[in-house]
Amino acid sequence: MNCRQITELKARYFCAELDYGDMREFEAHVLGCRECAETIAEEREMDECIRAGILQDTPDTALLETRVRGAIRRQALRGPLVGGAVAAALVLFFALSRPFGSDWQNARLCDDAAGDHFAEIVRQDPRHWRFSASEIDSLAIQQGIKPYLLAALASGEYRLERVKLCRLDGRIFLHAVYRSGRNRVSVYLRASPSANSEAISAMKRHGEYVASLGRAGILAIVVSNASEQAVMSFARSAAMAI
Amino acid sequence: MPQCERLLRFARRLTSRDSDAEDLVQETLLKAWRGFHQFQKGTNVRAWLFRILMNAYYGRLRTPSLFMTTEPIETVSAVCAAKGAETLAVRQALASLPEEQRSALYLVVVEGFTCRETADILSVPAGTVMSRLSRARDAMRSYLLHEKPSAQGRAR
Repeated sequence: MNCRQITELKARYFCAELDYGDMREFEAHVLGCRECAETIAEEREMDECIRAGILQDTPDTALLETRVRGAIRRQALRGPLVGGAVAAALVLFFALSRPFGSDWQNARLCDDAAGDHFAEIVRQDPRHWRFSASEIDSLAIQQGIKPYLLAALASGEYRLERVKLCRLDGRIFLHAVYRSGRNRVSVYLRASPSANSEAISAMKRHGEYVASLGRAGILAIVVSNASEQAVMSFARSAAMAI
Repeated sequence: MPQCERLLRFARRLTSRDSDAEDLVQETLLKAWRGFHQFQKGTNVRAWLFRILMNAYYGRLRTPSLFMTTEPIETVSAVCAAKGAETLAVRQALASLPEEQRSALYLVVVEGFTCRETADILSVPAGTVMSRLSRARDAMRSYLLHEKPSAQGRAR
């Protein structure tokens, strides 16, 4: 790859949309080209500033939500839906509008996480992992996740081993792998401002044990093939760290 | 209504007045409710809502009386000003971009949509999103390097 191609592909690189081969070529060029490395680092930093600056804007939506609910109710009453059917439609609509938490969507995320963990950790399909602290930090920052959180998530004897980006249910997650001896736990993280819940849900998908939680604007999915207790223990510890 | 805040935050970056932004979000949610049967389970509901919002916005642009002006004016509260000039400068820089670049950059950087999802929301090809992103980042960099915004008041 040359500098012109880096300029053309960097938007897809930041969205983690490059395939494995292109990603390797892209990063190989950036490692050897000071000018492109500076551009990429600068844009990562700027993206983080933009994200942080905009997310400080937390508009009060209480009045608007009341207005919308009222408008929907009025429209529903004019239509074929009445009484309990109106309430049911409202519940259904707003439940499915949740970014995380509705059962079907959570199940899809957990399905994908279990499949990803099996392919990449158990079966060891080749992937472009980041092992160095600086690469891991920059990848975390790029995804809106504080780098210290990755170290804080390590539970008991587990230590952070490697990190990469992946896609679950169409969304980009930071995939961190923690290792203790021969055991490995995958933690999939995504900054999600509305991820706030006391509950930790656990399930078994594709032979893997999966726990999902949302705390302080971080969505985390913990996967392991060890045992349900191990996954829940890691998830509870992660919840406290977040 | 967990998506309401995200939609309103984005709508505020599209319109000049908070009341316009709230009207836009209300219209979006009503359209989503009416067209909920068209939503395909298993697809990204957030991208679906943002696409409805963008279509509602484009519809309103075709009826100029519905918006006082399409130029965004970033109102900066005292709280925001106190949080530092850096945040203020970023918001001002974002507000200074043409709408098409601002939307693309916002959806990718703040909302975390991929280029393909953003292209779908904005109803443009993915290549167009990438060129808008590139121009937006160049303009942001230039603005942040050369402008020295005041710590309070309006951005533009």
